[in-house]
Amino acid sequence: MLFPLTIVILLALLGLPLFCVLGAIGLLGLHYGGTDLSGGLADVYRLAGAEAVSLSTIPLFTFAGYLMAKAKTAQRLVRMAEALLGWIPGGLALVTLWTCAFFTIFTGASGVTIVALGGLLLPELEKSNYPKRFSLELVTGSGAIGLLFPPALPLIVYGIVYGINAGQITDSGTQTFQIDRFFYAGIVPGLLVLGILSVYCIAMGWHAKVPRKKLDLREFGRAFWEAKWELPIPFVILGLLGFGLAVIPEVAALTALYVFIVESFIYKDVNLRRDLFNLTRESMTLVGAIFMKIAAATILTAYFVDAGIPERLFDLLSVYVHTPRAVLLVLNVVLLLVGCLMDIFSAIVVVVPLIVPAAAKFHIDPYHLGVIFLLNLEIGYLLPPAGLNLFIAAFRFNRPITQLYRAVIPFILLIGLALGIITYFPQLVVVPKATGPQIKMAAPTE
Amino acid sequence: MAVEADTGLPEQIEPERGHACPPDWPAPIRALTQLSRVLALVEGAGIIICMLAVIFLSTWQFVERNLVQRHVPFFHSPPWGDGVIRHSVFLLGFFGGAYATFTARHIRIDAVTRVLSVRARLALRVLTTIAALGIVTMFTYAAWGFYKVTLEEAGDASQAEQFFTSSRGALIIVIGYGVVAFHFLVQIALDIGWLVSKQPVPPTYIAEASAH
Amino acid sequence: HAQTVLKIATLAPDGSAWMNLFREWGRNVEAKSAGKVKIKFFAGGSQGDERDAVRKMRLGQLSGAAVTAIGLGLIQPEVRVLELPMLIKSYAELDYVRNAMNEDFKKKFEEKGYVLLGWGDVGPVHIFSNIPIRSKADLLQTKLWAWTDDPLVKTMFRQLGSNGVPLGVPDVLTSLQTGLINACYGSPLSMVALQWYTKVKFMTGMQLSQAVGASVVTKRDWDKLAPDAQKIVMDEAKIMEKKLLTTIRADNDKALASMKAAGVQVIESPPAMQKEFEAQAIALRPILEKDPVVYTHEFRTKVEKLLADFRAGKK
Ligand code: NA
Ligand code: NA
Repeated sequence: MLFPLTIVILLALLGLPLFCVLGAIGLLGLHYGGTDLSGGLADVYRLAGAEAVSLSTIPLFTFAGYLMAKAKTAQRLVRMAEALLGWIPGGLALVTLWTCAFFTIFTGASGVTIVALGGLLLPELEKSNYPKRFSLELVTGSGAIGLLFPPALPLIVYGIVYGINAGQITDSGTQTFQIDRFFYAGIVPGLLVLGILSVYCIAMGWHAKVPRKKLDLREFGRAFWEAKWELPIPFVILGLLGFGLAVIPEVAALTALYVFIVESFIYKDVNLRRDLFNLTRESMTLVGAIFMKIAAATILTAYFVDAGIPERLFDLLSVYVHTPRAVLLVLNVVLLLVGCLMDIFSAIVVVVPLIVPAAAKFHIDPYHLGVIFLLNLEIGYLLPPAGLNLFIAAFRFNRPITQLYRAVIPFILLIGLALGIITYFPQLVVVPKATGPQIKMAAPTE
Repeated sequence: MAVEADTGLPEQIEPERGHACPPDWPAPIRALTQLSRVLALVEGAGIIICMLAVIFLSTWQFVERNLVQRHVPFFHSPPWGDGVIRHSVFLLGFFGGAYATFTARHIRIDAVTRVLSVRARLALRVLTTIAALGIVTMFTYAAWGFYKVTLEEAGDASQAEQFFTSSRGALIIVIGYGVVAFHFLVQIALDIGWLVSKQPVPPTYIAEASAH
Repeated sequence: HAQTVLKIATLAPDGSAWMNLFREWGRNVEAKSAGKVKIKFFAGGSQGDERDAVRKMRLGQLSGAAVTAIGLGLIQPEVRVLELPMLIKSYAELDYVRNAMNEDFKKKFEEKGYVLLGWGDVGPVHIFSNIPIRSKADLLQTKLWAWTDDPLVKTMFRQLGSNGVPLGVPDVLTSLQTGLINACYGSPLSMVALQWYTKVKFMTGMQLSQAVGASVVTKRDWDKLAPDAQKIVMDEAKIMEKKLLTTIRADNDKALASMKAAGVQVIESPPAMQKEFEAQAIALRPILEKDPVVYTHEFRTKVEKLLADFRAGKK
C-alpha cells in the first residue's frame, strides 16, 4: 500500500481536504488488510450512538459562540476585565487564557473554545496592541489546558477506560486506581501549565508595551452592570452540573438557548431576520468541516484497530525501552502522534488498554500516567502538520495554515516544558487520600 | 470594522460564496450549478431544523426530568426524543459538511496552493478535487454496504418507538457523502470551466486565507 | 497449510477474568489445531459496543463476538427470556434451565446464521442506591438510572411507571456523584469494575435477575473450518465455558465482599417488597411477547415450566 499512500500524502500537501486524506488512508488500510470497507463506515455511525452525547456539545457551543461573536459580548466583557485587570501587564491576555481554559472544562474539546471564544477575543486582543502572532497563538492554544480539570469529558472517559482496564479483581492486588481520585489528578499540573503560560502572557504584554490602565472600580461597576446578562453564564453552568440538575449536553443546549434569547431580545445585537439564518449556517459550516474530519478519523481508527497497529507499535517499543522514564518519554512521542491523527475519545479507547500493562510492569503511577496522556493529546491538537486545532483556528479566523504553524510554536514549547516537569516530578500529580477501606485492584498480568 | 473583517466574523462572510457560473456557459454546467445551489439551500434549512430540534428536545427533557422529580406534572417528552437528538447532531455534521464542500471550505493544508497564481491554483484544485471525489465516492459506496446490513435490523425490538432506525441512520451517511461527492463534482466542472473560458475568476471563488 | 483466522470482539478488557480465559481458549485452539485455526481477539470494546460487534459480524468484518445478553438479543431476542426480572433466582436454576434448553437456543441461533460456542455469566443484578429501598414506593422515589437502549429495560420502566434518567454508561459515575441519579443497577462485579460502588451507600438485597452472556461465531466463518478444526474450537469452548462460570461466580462473590468491606450496606428486602416486584414482573412477561416482541410465548412458558419442575424437584 506504499505507493497509493505516497500519492495520498502528496495530494495532502497540495491541498486535498484533510478528511479525504485520513479517510483514504483508512480505506486503503482496510482494503489491503482484506477487510470489508463498510466496517469503517459502521464506525462512522457510532458517532450517532452513545458518542453523539459528547459530540452534541460541539454544534451547540459553536452556535452560542457565533451568537456572542456577532453580539457585542466581547466588548462588554473586555471593558469589565480592563477596568479590573488592566493595570497588570498582559491583563487581557491573562483574561483570555483563563477564560478559554475554564470554558474548555465544559465543552471537553479545546477546538470548540477556539470557535466560541477565540472569535470574540482575537479582535479585542489585536485592538489592544498585542502582537498579531501572539494573539492568534493565545486564542488557538488556550483551550488546551482545560481538559485537565474535572468535569472535562476526556478526563472522565480516560478515568473510566483506564479503571475498567486496570480494575480487574484478582487475589493479589498490586495497584489501585480510583476514578474519583483521578478526577483531581490534573488540577496541580493544570495550574502549573496555566502558571507558566500566565508568565508568558505577562511577559508578552510587557514586551509589546500594551498600554496599561489604572484600576477603576467605578468603571468596573458600570461595565459589570452592562454585562449582567452574560456574566452569570459560567456560574449557572457550574450550578446546573454541581447540583445534578443537568448533564453536560443539556447544559450546552440551555446555554445556546439562553445566549440566543439574551442576544436577540435583551441586547438586541442579533437581528432575527437579517442575521440568524446566515449565522447558524456559518457556524454549522465550521462544525461540518470538523465533523467530516472526525468521521474520517474514525475510519482511520477502524483500520488501526483492525490491523492491530497500536499493539504492534507498543510491541516494537517494548523491545527497546526498559526503564519507567524511558517508557514515559516514548509514550510522549507516540501520544503526540496519536493526538495529531485520532479523535480524542477514539484515542483513549484504543490506546489506553495498551498502556495499562506497560504501566503495571514499570510501576508507573496511574494518575501520573493519566495526566501525561491527556496533556500529550492536547499538545497533539496544536502540533503541525495535522493538529486539528490549528485547522479550526485557520478556518475560524481565515488565516493560512502555515501562519498557525508558526504562531503556536512558543505555546507548544511552554506546554512541552510543563509536560517535561510533570513527567520528571510525579509528586506534582496530587490526588486526595483514599478514604475508607478500598478494594484492591490488581494490574493485569501477561 | 477593519479588524473584524480580518477575523472572518459572521457578518463579513460574503453571501455569494459557493457554486455559481456565468449565464453564457453551456447548459449542462449551468444545470449542475443550479442543482448544487438548490441542495445548498436544503442544507441551510436542514441545519436550522436540526439545531431547533436539538435545543428544543434537550430543554424539554431537562425541564421534564427536574419537574417530575419534584412531583410536578409536565408534558412527557417523547420516547424517540433521545434518538432524534443524537441523529440531529449527526445530521448537523453532514449538512454542515456538505455546505463546507459547496463553499470550498474544508480544512486542508494550504502551504502550496497559497503561493500559486489563480490559474495554477485552479488547475491544482481540479486535481485534488478529482481525488476527493474519488475518495468520497468510496465512502458512499462503503456506506451503502453498511446500509444494506442495517436493513436486517429493521425488526429489532430496540428500534421500536425510534424515529431514526439504524437503517435510516445509515442512509444519512450514504446520502450525506453522496451530496458531498456531488458538490465536489460540480466544483470540478466549474474549475475546468474557469480554466478553459479565460474569463477573470471572481476573487471569492478561489480565495485563499489572507495572511495579515 | 492455510490458516483460518477467527476475529472475535468483546467488551471485556484485557486482564479481566473473561479475557484471560478467552486468550487461553485461543492459545489452546491454535496449539491443538497445529496452527490451522488462529483466534484474534479485539478486547475492551475496541471494535465498538455490542451493537457494533453484531453489525460487523453481519458485514463479515468480524467472525464472532463474546457478548452479554444485550448483544445476543440483537441476534436472537429469544435469549432475553433468561434475563426476565424475578424469574431465575439462583445459579442452580440458571444452570438447569440453560442446560435443558441449550439445544433449543443453538437451533434458534442457527436459524439466524450463528453458531453458539459457549455460555458465560455476568452475574446477579441488584439495585444500588443512596437511599435504602424497602418497597416499590421507595424505588419510585429514587432517581434511577435507565439504560434505555435496551427494549427489555425500557418496557420494564414504562410498566413500573418510573421515570428513569437515561444516561450513557460513562455518565453514570459522575451523575451519581452530583446527584443527577441516586440509584443504579448491575452485578457486583460490574459495580466494582466501573467503580460505581464508590458512589452508593446501599445494595438492595433482592436479586432482580441473572445477567448472562455467550460467545457466537457466524456460520459463514464457521463453515470455513474443517470438521476436525470445528470440533477442536467447540471442545475448547466447552472447557472455557466451565472455567468461565466458576471464575466469574467467584469474582462476583469477591466483589460483593469487597463492596461490603468498603462500606456498602446490604438492605434486606422484606417479603412484601418481593411480592410486589414478583407481581409486577409476572405482568411484564406477556407484554414482552407483543409490545415490543422480544421473545415468543412458547419459549417463555417453556422456561417457566422448567423452573417449576426444578423447584418442585428440589422440594
Ligand atoms: Na457521554
Ligand atoms: Na481538543
